[in-house]
Amino acid sequence: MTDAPIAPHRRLELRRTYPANRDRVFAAWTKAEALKTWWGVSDGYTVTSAEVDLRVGGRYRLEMTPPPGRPVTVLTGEYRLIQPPEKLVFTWGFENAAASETSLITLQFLEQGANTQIILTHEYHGPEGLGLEFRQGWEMMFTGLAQVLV
Amino acid sequence: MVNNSIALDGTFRALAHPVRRAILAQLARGEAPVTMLAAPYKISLPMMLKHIHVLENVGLLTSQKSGRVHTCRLNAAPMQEAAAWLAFYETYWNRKLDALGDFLETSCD
Repeated sequence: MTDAPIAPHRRLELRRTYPANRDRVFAAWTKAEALKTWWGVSDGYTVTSAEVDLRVGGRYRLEMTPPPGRPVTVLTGEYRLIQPPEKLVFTWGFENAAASETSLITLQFLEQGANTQIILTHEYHGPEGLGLEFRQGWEMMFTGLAQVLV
Repeated sequence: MVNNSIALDGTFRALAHPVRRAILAQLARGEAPVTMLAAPYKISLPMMLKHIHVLENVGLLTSQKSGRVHTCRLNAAPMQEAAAWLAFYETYWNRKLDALGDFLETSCD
């Protein structure tokens, strides 16, 4: 066996299907008012301000007021690709974090009859600025090596 | 977020090779000499040692030489760190996607 080129890494991919058309799902990710409504809910945060400048190179900024005892968080990033209602690519990170801590989020919106499937990819750009492709490693880690991680 | 990102990068790269993952899986069952680790593969001993060296460099494996026997042992801590990154964001995004589902159900066009 040869030493294959080492794949760069840290990539998470999730899929989810919603009973809504692509325009609605795309809008939920790109309209400030919509983001304000749903983004913070799951963590107990309140999105107190949402700004969206939806153009390539434009930024979004979500200011979140946390549950008591946790620090105020501002999530921000830059749009890299905008293809309504099919694809959206943006950087993602906490305000004032080092550039090396920035991730890249890719959202694909697939039409499935009346439903829309989202494929969400979270790629972490480490300090070496690697591109990312890693699914196999993850699966191995979670299945074969799960018992190691006790 | 992730603090120890350089160490984490190394861990992920070390895990990106099937032989190295197999070595770790084998060591998860207990320590083993290098010759035994190499046995299932059609690779040379120097190549095997190279893989072991990669794992050792990122702290996933420790080895000890006693006479002519080179014994390897698993150290799972860095892997836990790597898994923690994935577990963290998997939970994070699943929650977001749940919240989006609720939003799409309750909002109108």
